[in-house]
This record gives sequence, structure tokens and C-alpha cells, in this order.
Amino acid sequence: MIEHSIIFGKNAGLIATIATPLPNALPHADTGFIFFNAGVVHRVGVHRTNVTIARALVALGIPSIRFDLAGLGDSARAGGKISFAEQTVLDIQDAMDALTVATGVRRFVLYGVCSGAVHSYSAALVDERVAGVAMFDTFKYPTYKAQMRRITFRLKKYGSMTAIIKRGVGIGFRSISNALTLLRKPTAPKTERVVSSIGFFAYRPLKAEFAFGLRTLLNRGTKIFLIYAGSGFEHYNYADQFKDAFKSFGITDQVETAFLLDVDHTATRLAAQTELVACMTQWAAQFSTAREEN
Amino acid sequence: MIPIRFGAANRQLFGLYQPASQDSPRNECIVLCNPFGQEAIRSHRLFKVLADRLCRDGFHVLRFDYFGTGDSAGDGDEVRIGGLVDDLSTADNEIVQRSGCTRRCWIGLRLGATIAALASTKASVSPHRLILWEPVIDGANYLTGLAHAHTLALQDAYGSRGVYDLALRDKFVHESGQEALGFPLTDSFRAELNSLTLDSFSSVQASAIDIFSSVISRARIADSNMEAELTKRLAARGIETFSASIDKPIIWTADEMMNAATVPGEVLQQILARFANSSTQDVTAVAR
Repeated sequence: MIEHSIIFGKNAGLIATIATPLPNALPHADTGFIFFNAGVVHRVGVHRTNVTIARALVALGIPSIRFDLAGLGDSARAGGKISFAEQTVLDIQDAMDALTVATGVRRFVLYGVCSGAVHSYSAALVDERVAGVAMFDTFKYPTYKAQMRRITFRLKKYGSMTAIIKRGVGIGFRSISNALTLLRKPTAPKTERVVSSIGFFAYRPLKAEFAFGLRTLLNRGTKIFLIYAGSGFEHYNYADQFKDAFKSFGITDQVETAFLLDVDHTATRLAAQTELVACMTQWAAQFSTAREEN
Repeated sequence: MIPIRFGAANRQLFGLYQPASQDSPRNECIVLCNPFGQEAIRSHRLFKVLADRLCRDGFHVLRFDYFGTGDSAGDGDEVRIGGLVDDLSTADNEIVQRSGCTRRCWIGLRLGATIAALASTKASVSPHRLILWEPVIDGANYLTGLAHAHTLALQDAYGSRGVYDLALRDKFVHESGQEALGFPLTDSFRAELNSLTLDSFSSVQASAIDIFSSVISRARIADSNMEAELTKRLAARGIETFSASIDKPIIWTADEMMNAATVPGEVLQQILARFANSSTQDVTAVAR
């Protein structure tokens, strides 16, 4: 494996490390991966998972670039003439150009975590070079089943059904009503801006809007992989929740999903990191097809 | 800013070299020494801002990742105290070669401060100044703090499951001996950390040593006492010492998901002021 670090971009202010297989080690893939910040965590990713995944991909012959968006990590600020969301798309496109220059790949997979996944999705919609999008733990849509599982889980702390009824009678009808309201509250967001389970606001498109975007990508042949962490139990808590939530849109058979029950939003535990990396590497293997010139 | 990779072929390190940006650069280069694990993530932005400011003030600055951390080669389970110390020496050689400076300063935060202190004992030419920001002096206490922070962070990260799922909580506690907030703590590394004491600092070499510490609080009483004792011992050895207290304690292990970066402006000002004082006395410009 070769890793080299560069400064690139139209303003020459973006910092990146490119990982490539050794020249004669194995056939080089025709697709490269793009990694960048998760929140304000710099390009190495949450708990260095971008680095770990990038190195696992090299073993498959897949090159990658991990970089800091303008104004984050080690990269310089942008000019400020356009919005942050618009700038991130331009930065991601600059990273694709840089990886093409470095390795020759012309197709790309964008990997994003949380808000980074939103940027990946946005860039994929506007750039036809994107062959795949892997989005970790973002855009969660509730279902009745998810809501019931959440309520059931919370009630378990009171023990048996008898204990639950006794407690219910004890606290009175008003309290029951209040408690049910509280139990329902986080799973019924109606607006585009929702409070995530980790306490900050994140943009989430309306369900129909997201379905339209996914269909646009699928029609173009873009592979989509939605990975959900088990720590956001309040909002996503069973494997087929995406499929249930989007069953009326006719796209669920083409979208790959994974629900990693014991992985948290930032893959904190080492076991969680191993599981996330394995999950990503397994999905990424489909992009290891060798370039024709090889 | 120049991204570089340096060091031996089997131990490649990533660094960001920032040559002095003023017309009259000072004859002084500065290496910033990262703390360990989550503390390094939390302070990444802080070090960037500090490097930018120092660079603007005429200093040559190098930030780098130790082997097995950040963008450098190696895996997290390969991190050892001896390796971290050697990596700092490698980084120091790199910036001296690139800048041509003869005066060197190392600024370290938490375990990075301890590494700077330990590396000074092995340096053929000791650094002119060490700035030790809340150095890890009592390794056993540090490990206890990491384990506590690890368990709390995971309970928070898993939301309601972290509260109600007792089996999951047991797992957090059990794992806290082998990992800390997302980074491996191998048995070897743990043992090395556990052996750190005040005596580990007995041979520290530098013309001047500044110790920055948070204001004394109940949570930091043991660390504060250690820092005071270290300052006393260094002064007794004839080393010029300076102590500064930071009014607002910073929880370096905070794992506020992906938004834990902190840049405490008042501390930056205090550090920069230390260089302003020394530069007027004995720092001369060199031609580039």
C-alpha cells in the first residue's frame, strides 16, 4: 500500500491523503472511494474508521482519498461566497478530480457518516461520476412497528406486565397520558428539521423527496447502501425499517440496507469498528472490478 | 501549509509543516505533540489554530501524527510510549532540517506533554522550551479517568439502550480495560501508561519549562497537586519554570459525538504570550 498526502483544490487549500495499492500488487479497480469529515471530526473519520476502511479497500485494489472539507480539519476556509452545503459539493467534486489525477479512476463511491452522508447524497445527485453512495446513520424514517418496539423496550424496565399495570394505576390517568405523549414524541417528527437521537438538528428530506432522489440515483445505475446504527433505537430499531417505511415507493428492492444493532453512531467500541469496517468492505467488494487497461 | 510524510519507510509519519509566514522569520521552530485517542480528536482544531497563530508570528511549526494514529502509518494497537517518544524525535529532526532553525520548542497536551518531557531526556540537543499543558503525570490515575469516561460516553452514545440494556452496559465496563473511547489500549501500552509517575520526569531537559494546568477543582485535585510538585522539582534542578492556571477546566475526553472540538481562546493567548516574551530577548531572525 502507498499513502501520500497532498494539498489540492481550486484554492489549493484542501488537505488529503490518498491510499493506493502498490503498482504491481494486484489489478487496480476502476472505482475509487471518497472519505471526508464526519461533523467536525477531521478526515481520518470517527475513531479513525476512514483510515481503517481505506486500508481494507486497498487490499481489494480500490484506491481512495480522505480529505477535509473547506473550513474543517486541516483545510483552509473557502471564499464564503456560496453556502456551506454548496461548497461541500464542490469540494467533493475537487476530491474526485484529485483522485483521478493520482490514480486514473473515473468512477467514485462516496462514503459519509451522519451529516457527511447528507453531503455524499447531495454530491451524488449532481455528479454522474458517482457510482455508489454509502450513507451511515442518517435519514431515519419512523414506522408504526419501530414506534411499538421503542415503547415496548422502554416498558421493559418496569418488569412484568402486572408491574406495568400496577405502576400505571398508581400514577393515574393523567400521568399515563403524559407518559404516552413523552414516549411518542421523538418518533413522530413532522418537519424537515428533526432532533436526532444525539441531540443536534439535522436536515432530513421529506420521505417522498428522499424516495425521488434515490430513484434518480438508481435509474442512473448508482449503487446505494444505507447503514443504520443500533444506538439510535429511538428512531431506527429493526433491520427492515427502511423497507417498511418506503414500501410504497417501489425502490426498496434496489437499495441495500444494513442494521448494525451493536454499533453506535460514531462506532466507538472497537468491536463496533470491526463490524462497520467489515460491513463496508463486504459491500465495497463489488467495486473492485479491474480497470480495462489492467 | 505543506503536508508531508517523513520518517523511516516502515514507520511513515504524517505531518503538516507550516513555514513562518512573516517576512522576518524567527530562528525558532515548534513541534506540537498530540495527546492520545479521543483527546487528540478533541484538540485537533485547537492545534491547527495554535499552529496558524504561531506561524503568523514568525515561527516554523510542525504538527504530526504518531505512528498508529491519525493519518500516519500503523494501527492503533501498535502504539507504545517508546514509539511515541521516537516519533517526536523524528519530527524534531524533520523540522530542524526543513527550517534551518537552531532553537526548538515542543508544545504538548496531556499525554503529548508527557511524551515531550520523556523525549527531552533522550534528545542529543535538548529543546530550548517545553510547554506542558496538563501533562499526564500519574499514569494510573489517567487510566482510571479514561475508563470512567469510556463507560459514560458509551452509555450516552447508545441512548435508551445505554440506560436500560444492562447486558450492554456490562459490556462497556468489561471492555474499558482494553480500549478507551474508541482507541485500543493494549496490555503493553496500558502497562507503560500505568508506570508513569512523577519520577518519570526526573531527567527532563530544557532551558525553560512552562506548565499550563486547569484551575484546581475537586475532580482535578490529584492532578493539580502533581503539577505543583513537578514545577517545584524542576525549579529545584535550576530549570526556569513558569506555571499558569486556566480558569475554565476542559474535559479533554469529552465525546460529544462528532462535535467535541474545542479551541479555548484564553489558553491560546497565554501560550502565545510566552513566545512574545522570549522573542524580544534572545531570538534572532534567520535568512531563508
